[in-house]
Amino acid sequence: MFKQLLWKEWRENLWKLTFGGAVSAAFVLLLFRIRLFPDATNCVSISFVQMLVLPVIYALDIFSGEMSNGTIHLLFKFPVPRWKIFISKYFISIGGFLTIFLMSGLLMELIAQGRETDTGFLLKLNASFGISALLLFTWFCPFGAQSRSEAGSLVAMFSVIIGWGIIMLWSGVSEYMWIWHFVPYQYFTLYISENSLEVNMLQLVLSTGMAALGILAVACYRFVKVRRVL
Amino acid sequence: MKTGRIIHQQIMQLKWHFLACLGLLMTLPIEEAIINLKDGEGFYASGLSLGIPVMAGTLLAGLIACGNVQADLDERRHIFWRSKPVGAKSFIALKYMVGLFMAFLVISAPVLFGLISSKVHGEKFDRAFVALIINFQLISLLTYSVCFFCNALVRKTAQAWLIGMAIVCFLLLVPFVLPFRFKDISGDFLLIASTVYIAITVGASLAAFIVSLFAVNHNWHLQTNLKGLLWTGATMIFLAMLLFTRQVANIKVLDEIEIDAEHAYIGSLNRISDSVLLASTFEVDTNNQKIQLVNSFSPPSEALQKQRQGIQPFYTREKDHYPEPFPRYSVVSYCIGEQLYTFRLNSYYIREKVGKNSWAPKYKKAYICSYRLAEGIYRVPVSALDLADCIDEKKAWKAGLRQIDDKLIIFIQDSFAVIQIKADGSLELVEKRINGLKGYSRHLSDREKIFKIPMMSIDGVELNERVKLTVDVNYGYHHFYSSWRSDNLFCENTHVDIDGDKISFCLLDEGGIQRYDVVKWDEEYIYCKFRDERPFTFLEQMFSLVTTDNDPWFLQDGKLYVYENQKLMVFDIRSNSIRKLGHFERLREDYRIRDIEVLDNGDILLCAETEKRIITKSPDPNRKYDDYFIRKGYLSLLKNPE
Repeated sequence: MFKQLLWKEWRENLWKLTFGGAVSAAFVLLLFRIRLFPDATNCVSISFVQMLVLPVIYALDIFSGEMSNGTIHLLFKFPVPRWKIFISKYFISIGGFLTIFLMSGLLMELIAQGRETDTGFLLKLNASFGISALLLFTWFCPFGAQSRSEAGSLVAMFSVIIGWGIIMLWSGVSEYMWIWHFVPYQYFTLYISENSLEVNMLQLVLSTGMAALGILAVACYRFVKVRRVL
Repeated sequence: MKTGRIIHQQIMQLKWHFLACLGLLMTLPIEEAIINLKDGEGFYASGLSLGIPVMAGTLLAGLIACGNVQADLDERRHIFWRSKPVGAKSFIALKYMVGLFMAFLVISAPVLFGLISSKVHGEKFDRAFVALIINFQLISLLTYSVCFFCNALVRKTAQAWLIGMAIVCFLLLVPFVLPFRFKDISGDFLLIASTVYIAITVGASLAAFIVSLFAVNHNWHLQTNLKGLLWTGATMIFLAMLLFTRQVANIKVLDEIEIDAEHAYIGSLNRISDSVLLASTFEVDTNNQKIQLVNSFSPPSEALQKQRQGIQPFYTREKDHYPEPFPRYSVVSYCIGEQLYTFRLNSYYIREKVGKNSWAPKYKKAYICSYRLAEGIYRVPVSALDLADCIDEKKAWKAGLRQIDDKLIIFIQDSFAVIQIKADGSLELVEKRINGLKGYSRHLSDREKIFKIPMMSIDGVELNERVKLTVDVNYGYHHFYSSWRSDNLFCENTHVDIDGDKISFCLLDEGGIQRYDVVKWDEEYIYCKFRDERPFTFLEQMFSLVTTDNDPWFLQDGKLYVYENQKLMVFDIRSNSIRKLGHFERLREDYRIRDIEVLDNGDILLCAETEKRIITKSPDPNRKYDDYFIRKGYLSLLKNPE
């Protein structure tokens, strides 16, 4: 049954992969051709927008869509634990947007091969934004798990994006640097800011990983208990 | 149905979106104001915390538009209100206006808060930041209208918002693709009121609004069979766009050759008369946009050797005297007839113990020397003048040299001497001013005020050149001398631009480029005023920061050249606003730009080196690894961006 769930999610979210992939590819082609910015800067600009937009696209209606269409009741009647429904949604979503990240990274490497950066640099840069996007998406899940409208989900996601920005800024100003170990944006700042390189990588992976797992568990719990709020 | 009631209904529909978005955007400025209050500075938000809300406002405007349309146009509800006695066009026009008004209220709230609280606190926003705010308000108008239109067609919030944002991004890139000569996103768009962008944002918003009216009136709903057609159309337009695009701002590499790594060092490119020399050994030929190195080195002839041996040295160096030439890297040359002469300030110091294991140089001698260049690259001493009396042993050492026509101005600490170059290359002292340099004059923090710099009084030097020298001494010799990469900059280059009767100069710091105008001058002072600033964008400062302490920059023919290890940027400083014309970047491991030279035809010659560390397993049983470096040098010919 889990396979069928994955298949359902894949079919339902195919437009996101197509749309996100097409728009990403279009911007990569255009910006790397006109070269308004240097290649690495182009890569950062595109990946940054991808990091903010792709998790939003996927999280937007993955839970709220089922609720607004009323298909959540049908879904819950399937003989499969609810957490598996949640996990199938989660995996298909992250698989989808990470595929777009990989594809755009490869496209950037292909176009900018040997031009301004070392081979593989743009892909690595892209991957760091991909990890940040993954963490951001995980943070969206608990807020979107019981959302009943797309607009509501969108506002919740903007709150997460801006909220982490505020926390990052505030902790920087107040010199509570340990908080940075939980900030999803920390991964991409590793490449673009010289100061961040002093961060202990293992510590960072452990802290963000643990936080992501915890938040995922909360999201799963909220999704499993969804009937109470419907 | 009464208009007032529709407006009320629309406002009630949007109130939660309004409040949520307002809460999101106001958090950051209020947070900054609270932090400022805690620090005892007062309750105000500066431009620092307004950047993110201003940019995020564009996204939220699109969101409000989608929420606004979806509230009445989804599958079930649009049948409901269509049955009411109100025209579809007037209903949707009211909806658009109310939504737009609420979106602007949300977006303007942090800006108004920042403006009012800053004004009360006595802080002022600069012109560029106000332009930035206005431009983002226009972009918000565009995102609102385009998302409104997309949702009227697509009728799905998420998809409409995404399609709308993608269209807006493409629209904002259009001026860079079309032949408008747009090159700099800051200088051509964000920091100025660009008519092209005003036309695009207002025009496209109006068009989106009008088409939305028709779309709703005729109940156009994007059907599945039309989607394929639209995708195909969009792809065709995009491919056509790609076909006609050109490279906008990257500096084109015309040719690049590998050179011996030993020849790529700071100040390795030197202009002598009409030619450019690399490492004082090769003449660089750039005809037909190809780099060719012509080896100028050949052993000196016997006659020359004899001639050099016969010349008495102007100074016999004492045993404990250590030499220090200036300029260390570059060459200052002057051509008299067919003969080339070069000049150098040779100074000598002794090492004075200042601690148990440390010493400090104490300068004892200084000579300005002229040399005749023989057989291409060999220097034959011609004459020397003793300037030891300019040395003040109590002051920190610094030296400078500037050649203006047939005069040399030598700077030693706070003294200077004017030297005449005679027809045979020998030197004659015109005047010497011990402690004649006035101190560094800092420009004022209040940019509205005129500030003055003490004018250098040198007889026989044209007024424009005196103004130029005064500014360069003030900002180049006094202030930035500590830069280890820029000794040749003071000798050869300037911070001043003279365009007809207009004199302006530029200063750089990590924040950006400031342009100042010389408004008037007299025998005592030159009077200057701040004109405008072009901040370095976050994108420009990424990966490697431009820092004025180590990174050289200079002005030539109305362009500002600034480079650091991996990046060269060229700015136009004669246009209404300072705009970036181009960039050259090599984000490769250990790539270091060592020197650049702007050629007579405008092309740029760039010398760089790379140093790669190789680690291998050591054959020595006591050591695990061996490491060594592979160094390579590069000479690149770049097209100067226009």
